[in-house]
Amino acid sequence: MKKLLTALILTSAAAQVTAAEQIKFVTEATYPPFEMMDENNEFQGFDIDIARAVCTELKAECSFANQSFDSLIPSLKFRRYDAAIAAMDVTPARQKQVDFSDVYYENSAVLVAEKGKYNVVSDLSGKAVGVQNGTSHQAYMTDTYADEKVLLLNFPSYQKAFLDLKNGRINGVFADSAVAHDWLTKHSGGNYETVGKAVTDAKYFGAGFAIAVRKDNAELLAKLNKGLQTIKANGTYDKIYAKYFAK
Amino acid sequence: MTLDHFWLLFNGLSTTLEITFFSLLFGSILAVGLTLAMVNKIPGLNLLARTIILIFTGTPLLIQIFLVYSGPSQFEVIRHSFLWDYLSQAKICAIIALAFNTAAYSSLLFKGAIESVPRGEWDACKALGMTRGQTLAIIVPHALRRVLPSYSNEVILVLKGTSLASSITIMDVMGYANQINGQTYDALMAFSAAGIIYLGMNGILVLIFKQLEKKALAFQS
Repeated sequence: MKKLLTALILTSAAAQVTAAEQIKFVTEATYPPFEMMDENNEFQGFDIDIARAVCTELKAECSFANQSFDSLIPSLKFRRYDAAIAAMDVTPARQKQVDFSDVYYENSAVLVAEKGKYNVVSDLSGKAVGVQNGTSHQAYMTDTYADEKVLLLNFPSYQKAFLDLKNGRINGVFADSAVAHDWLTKHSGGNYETVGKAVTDAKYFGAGFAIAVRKDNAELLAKLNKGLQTIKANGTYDKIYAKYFAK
Repeated sequence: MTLDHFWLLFNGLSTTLEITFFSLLFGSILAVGLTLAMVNKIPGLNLLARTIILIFTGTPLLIQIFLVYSGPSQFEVIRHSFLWDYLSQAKICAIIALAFNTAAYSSLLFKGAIESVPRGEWDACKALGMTRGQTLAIIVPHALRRVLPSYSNEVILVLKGTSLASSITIMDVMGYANQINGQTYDALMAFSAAGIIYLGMNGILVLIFKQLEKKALAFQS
């Protein structure tokens, strides 16, 4: 009996040592092409592929979970998840809350509206524009177009915002360029277009997308950066990039 | 979260009160209709009223709001009809859902109150040879006085229920609280401040109804 017990303890201890490190990722999977659920309810998208590639490099086991965008940073702080990869811009307000890895995607934001109606964003004065709650797009629109009387509506996800754009409830949607172009080519039916130039204001959108981790987790941050560097160096990143964005 | 944010929450208060008021207005009118259909056992309408009540008391308010908001837009016919001018407005969708919800609950309250009027009053009316309509004209005011305390509860439930309207992009108190939380990540302060505003509003409602009850129920003391 004693032997059995010792053996049990030993094996369980050994199992703990050899078990691969687990990284719990959290995302908001209504944001194609960056993150979405496929028909089999599996996480897919550019961000997810990047995270999986990084995990392969780190020999870590990765899991993904889905949450609303405005609760991603709180759930990192409450230690529910280890890292958030959700097309998240590095902004000063967020850097107060969490730490960010190196940037893995340089983004821009653009307004989508009905074809042939508006030339510049300020033409939408008095019209309703949809943004996702808690995003840098929301902050940018709130600060930049407050005087132009653009009516901002907050949506829990961009899918709902685009749906309401089609239904005529709102006149425009302000989103990441890649997301906007994905929707324009796949779902717009040719009746919508981008308005004005794509915005790349570093004050709001930072340098691009990065992975967020808890402030006191420098160890994981270093690992993720190492993983990102490796996949950029060995060509994996370019392969994933080519899969989602035609150059 | 700063003081500016707190004042931002008050921007949403007018929307919250507007939705509450119109939901209660249309809800109470509808509730009277439902109650009359049930009390008078009007064939067909009685069954319809009971079905409406079953559906709206048996499903969550959040689902009702989502269905009214997103349901009609699935039909091309509705999107191109005059109805869409109204249904495309999130505020009207919220009011429709809340009005039906509160009507379902209030009509049950009204029905119970009418039935709780002492049997003797009904018999007295009958003995005087009154018609059904004349009888109700006597009974209903008595029942309304009895229903006041429980109806004040329903009013408070509707005011709190409006917070769910923020899920369909309405910028009420809850909508602004969500936005502040999204921008500052200060969930504790944003939602506490919103909670205090709701608490204050409900406190005022309770005081108003206390005064009303004193007057309406004076015959009891």
